[in-house]
Amino acid sequence: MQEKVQHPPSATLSSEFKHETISGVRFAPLLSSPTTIPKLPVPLWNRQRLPKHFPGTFRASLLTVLMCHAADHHQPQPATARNLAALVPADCWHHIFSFCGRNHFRPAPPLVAKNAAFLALVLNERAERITAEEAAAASELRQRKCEAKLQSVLVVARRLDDHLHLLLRNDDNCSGLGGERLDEIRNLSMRLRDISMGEGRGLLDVEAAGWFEDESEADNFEEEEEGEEEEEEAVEFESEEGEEAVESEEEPQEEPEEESESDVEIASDSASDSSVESEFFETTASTAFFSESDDEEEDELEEFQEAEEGAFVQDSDSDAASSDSTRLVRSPAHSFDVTDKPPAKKARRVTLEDLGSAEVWGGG
Amino acid sequence: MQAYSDEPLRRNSLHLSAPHIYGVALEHLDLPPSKPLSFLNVGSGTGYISTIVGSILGPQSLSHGIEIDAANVEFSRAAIANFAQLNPSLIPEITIVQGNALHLPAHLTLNLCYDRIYLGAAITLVDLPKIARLLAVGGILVGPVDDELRKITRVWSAEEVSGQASAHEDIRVLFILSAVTPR
Repeated sequence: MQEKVQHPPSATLSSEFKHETISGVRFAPLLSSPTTIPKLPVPLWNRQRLPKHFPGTFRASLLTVLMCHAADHHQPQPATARNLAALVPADCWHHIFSFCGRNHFRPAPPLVAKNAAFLALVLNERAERITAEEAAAASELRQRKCEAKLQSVLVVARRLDDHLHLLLRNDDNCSGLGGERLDEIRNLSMRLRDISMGEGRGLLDVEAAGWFEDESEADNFEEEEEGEEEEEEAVEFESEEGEEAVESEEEPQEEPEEESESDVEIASDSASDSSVESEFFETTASTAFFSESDDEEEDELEEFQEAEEGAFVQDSDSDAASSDSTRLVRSPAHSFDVTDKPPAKKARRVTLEDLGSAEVWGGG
Repeated sequence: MQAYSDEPLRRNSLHLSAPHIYGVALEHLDLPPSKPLSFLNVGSGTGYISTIVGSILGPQSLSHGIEIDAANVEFSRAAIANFAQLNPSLIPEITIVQGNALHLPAHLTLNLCYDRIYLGAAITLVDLPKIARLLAVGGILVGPVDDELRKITRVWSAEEVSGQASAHEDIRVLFILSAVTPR
């Protein structure tokens, strides 16, 4: 009829108590007011109440003491024996007994039982400790996963921020967009910048704003990022004018001359993986590649690089040939190195119209 | 006819739980017959279960009840006296006091611990230690905690363990009676 359930140790009740749930019931609650203090009578022994209301052990002990009191002080056998109970007057004994509680003469629980209780307690605490350690290990593992995921998201945020910055720098790219659309893209860029610079702070705001409506989108995006690194795929951003500018790895310096002024090309770098040590750097190895054929836009790029407060560092070893194709590669120290390595083999077009859609997350 | 149905009875401030609840509680209180244990009934109400427990434990047992309602206290005292008159030397002297069990003085546990405690009303898990501290080692408490009927057993006492250490220090003063001149 009843279902016994071993209850876990309560947070409010110490380990001195063992819990069992018998069944579910519904009782009226104990009232907390009025706060009348109950006066429970503490049973004290007196001569008149000797036979009643006290356990047999108590009465037997008192009887033994009083019989000893009635005996002689000098005991015959052995000759050195002395009856100390006979030294105290009977009234004193009665007074002493009145201080004894009801359970004063109750035999103590056997030591074996007490040890067994302590042993059970120790085993219980040991089991709880193991459970707590397992929970701590699982929690630490989850924390590491979350940190790794956060790093991935930060990388994505930085990359998209870079892309958006480069695109917004070009007036031709922005000319075809409406004012609201442009503001939306700028806000997105600012939020991405806040996230990337704040080491993830504000990420929840982005999620709340609906940019990460589905967590699987970010995961898919992350997986595709990894896939791109393996395939050494280059991504090219192109303006709305519709000119296709797919560059090959073998001819990186010729393409900017063929493309229009509004073309912006961003490609991944596969050769920089050799110097990668950290996981972060591995995930960021396919960072932006920026190419400009026009001198004005190249100057604008330099201004933009300076405005980044040192976030972009131009490699002094770059030769003159790199003036046509300037590559930005993220370093482990979260800064950018400008290298002159050839771009990747493949390229894929992404237009500005894609920025507001979910395809950006899947193709960045 | 209502008295024979297995359902709770309520009349004014007097409440009686369903009979099967008392059966379940008595079963889990694990009462040894004719053993002078001490029993506390928190929210004693009519004193019904105090009388049953007293009948099982015998006249040498100790039975206390705490009831917050004055009318219920008077009713239970009269009912218990009536039962004791009809069944002399069957039950112990059952003492019902008026008061709030949640406001028992903390020093009470130094002088009084109960072997069995029954809760006649639901108590929250937060307030449970206030009553559970009255349990003696090996004692059993049965009662509704929140919405569950629970059995709580005191396995050991931290006070008792700490008290044993201090008792060893007091042993040296127990033999001063030997200086008294023999008669």
